[in-house]
Amino acid sequence: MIPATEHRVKGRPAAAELLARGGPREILARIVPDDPLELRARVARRARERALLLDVDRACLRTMALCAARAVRYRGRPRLDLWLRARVEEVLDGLLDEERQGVAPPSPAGEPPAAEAVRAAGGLAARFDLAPDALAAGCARFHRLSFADRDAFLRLVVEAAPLDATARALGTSATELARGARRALCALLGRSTQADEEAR
Amino acid sequence: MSFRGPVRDGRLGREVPRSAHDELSEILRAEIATLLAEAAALRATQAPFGRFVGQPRESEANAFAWRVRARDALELWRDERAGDLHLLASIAALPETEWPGPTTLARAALGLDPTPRRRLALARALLAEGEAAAARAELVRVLDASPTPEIEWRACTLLARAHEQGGNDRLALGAADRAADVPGCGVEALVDSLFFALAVGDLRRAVRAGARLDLLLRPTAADLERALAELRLRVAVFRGGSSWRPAPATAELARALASGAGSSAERVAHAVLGDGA
Repeated sequence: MIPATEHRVKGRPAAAELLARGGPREILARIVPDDPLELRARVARRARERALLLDVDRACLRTMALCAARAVRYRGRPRLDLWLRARVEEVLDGLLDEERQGVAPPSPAGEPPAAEAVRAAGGLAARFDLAPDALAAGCARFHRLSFADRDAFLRLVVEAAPLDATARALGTSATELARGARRALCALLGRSTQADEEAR
Repeated sequence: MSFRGPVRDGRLGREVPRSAHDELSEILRAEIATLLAEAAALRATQAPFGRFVGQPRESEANAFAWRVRARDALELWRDERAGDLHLLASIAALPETEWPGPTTLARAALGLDPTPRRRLALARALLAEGEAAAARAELVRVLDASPTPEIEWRACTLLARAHEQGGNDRLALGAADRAADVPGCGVEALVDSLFFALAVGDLRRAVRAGARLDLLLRPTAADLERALAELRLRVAVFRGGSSWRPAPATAELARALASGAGSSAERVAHAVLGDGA
């Protein structure tokens, strides 16, 4: 039995109760509408912490599905917050693994998935005229870069943070930070960096 | 760009979108594929050449642990209608010796999850059953698909073993060398690249492989013990054991290494030459 110790919102069952009984599809039907476990926010937050460029909507749905599938074996330990965080990590790792293996995401209605961070930045894909296929390949290249380069790109290009203040906050030089963001941008766009050119 | 369904603009609606059910079906499919691939790996250990194809990660679990997980999965997904659940249920009900062959199981896993990892598992199953040519064809497909470094070195190592089964050490050396060049490759790749270089008499590559082995691997590493035991077994079965000798061009190097028996490279030479050094 799962202890219902989690925060209870008026008129809603406690979070742990949502996972407490029934098969995976019944649980899914309880945790998708209105996202009572706040999984979308958890996924978006963790994806940003790891400096990932991915489709948060899809990652959210997969996390919900994974929670529904694993809930049967959940007995209240570890604490629900930690258990959900582990599921989010599992999904993000799985999506990156699929990306590395070149597994195309399912697109039931033939519509390309949206990259949350890209869309949130006001249509970066549109700004750089990236087609869905090119965006997917660009994201795969982006994720092969170091965390520092990816984070620099998200801060400076997507979130439009001021260069000097960000560099000071991170304890690095503005030049280094800008170089990292540029490497990430080049990876996303599939262009060679100046260092690549010089190496040739 | 837009996104379909009730999560449009990042807000979930009251209904469960079909894509959420699709994701759940994906999880089920992946779970069945993993269990079938593990069953294939377990079954491969009983196949004629199963001891010469290395141990894939899937077979790290034993048959008992596999049965527990299969039973859990069947219980969890009992209301689903996926046809492959019936295959899983029928396998779980039988003793391992009566399971379908490793190739059949690996093909079923690949059908559910058509990724390079599953194709690699199919190649391993084929090789375990002595189908070296078919295994090579699958491995070439794996390598053509720009695999991850881990899949690449594993595929190259297996390709070398497939060439070895086919009696072509020179091609085996090429594949083993490629495996050993992949950063983060396993011990067996490093060991095989030295062994095949000694076998074909390529002194330059043997020296390079030996230096690389000593640089990357402690001679006391547990993984080296396992790789050497497997190499000794292959030499015994495929090459006449203690009567095997390296090619003349590398014989002197092999003897010098074997007389040392201290560094990792020396241990490889000693393992295959034994007292014949």
